[in-house]
Amino acid sequence: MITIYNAAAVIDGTDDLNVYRTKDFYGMESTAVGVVTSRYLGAVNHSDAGDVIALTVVSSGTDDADRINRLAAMDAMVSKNNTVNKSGFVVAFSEIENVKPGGITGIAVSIDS
Amino acid sequence: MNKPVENYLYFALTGTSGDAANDAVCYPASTFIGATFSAANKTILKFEDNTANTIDGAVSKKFNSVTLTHANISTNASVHMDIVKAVAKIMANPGKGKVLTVVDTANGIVAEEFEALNNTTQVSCGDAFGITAG
Repeated sequence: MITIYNAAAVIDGTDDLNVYRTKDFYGMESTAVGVVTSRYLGAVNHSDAGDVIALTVVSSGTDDADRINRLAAMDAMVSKNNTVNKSGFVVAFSEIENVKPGGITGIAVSIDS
Repeated sequence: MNKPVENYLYFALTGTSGDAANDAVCYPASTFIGATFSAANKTILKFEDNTANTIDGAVSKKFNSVTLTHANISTNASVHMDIVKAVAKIMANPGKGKVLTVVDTANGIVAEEFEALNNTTQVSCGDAFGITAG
């Protein structure tokens, strides 16, 4: 299975469309208020520096509400990366297709070089 | 020991005879690493390379790249997504042990999953394959 991320309404940069093998999903961690960071094996195959995808969720101002929002984003990404279908792909996030699960409002991809 | 049987993806450049070095590449579908935007009319696919990918932690790991040329975003804003979705469908072929022709530019052959994307510009391999790049 392939997981597709589309970060921008116009795909004109290397961080606007990023595709990974679902099995290369390394997991997530909270990295700031209202931000969850996902990690994948990088395209250049480094084991010590993969690709990073920052998932922005609504920051409410209270710790517990933020925890709930982050957890919703994590839950959505786990669901996406566990998807199995005959098409062979799943769209985890897309501005073009307006696929924004788990309350994620935007993503930013950093590609390991 | 039983060797796993899987599908392989075949890509070929355009050219005269098509039999020169690096005119064609064939990689196991399981070695696909990922894909990204490359240009307004190009998407780059990356595959594991066998020269360094077994050395965990190496900082100079390499990959093989295949650049697909296709319609421009000016005619299809989502063409890059459409291309990678088609590639995913090809890789999800339930057969085993097949050589799946994704793009054979010299012979004008593209996988049927690309058919809807061939209306204005045929999907092709116009750039040299990046073998052991990175």
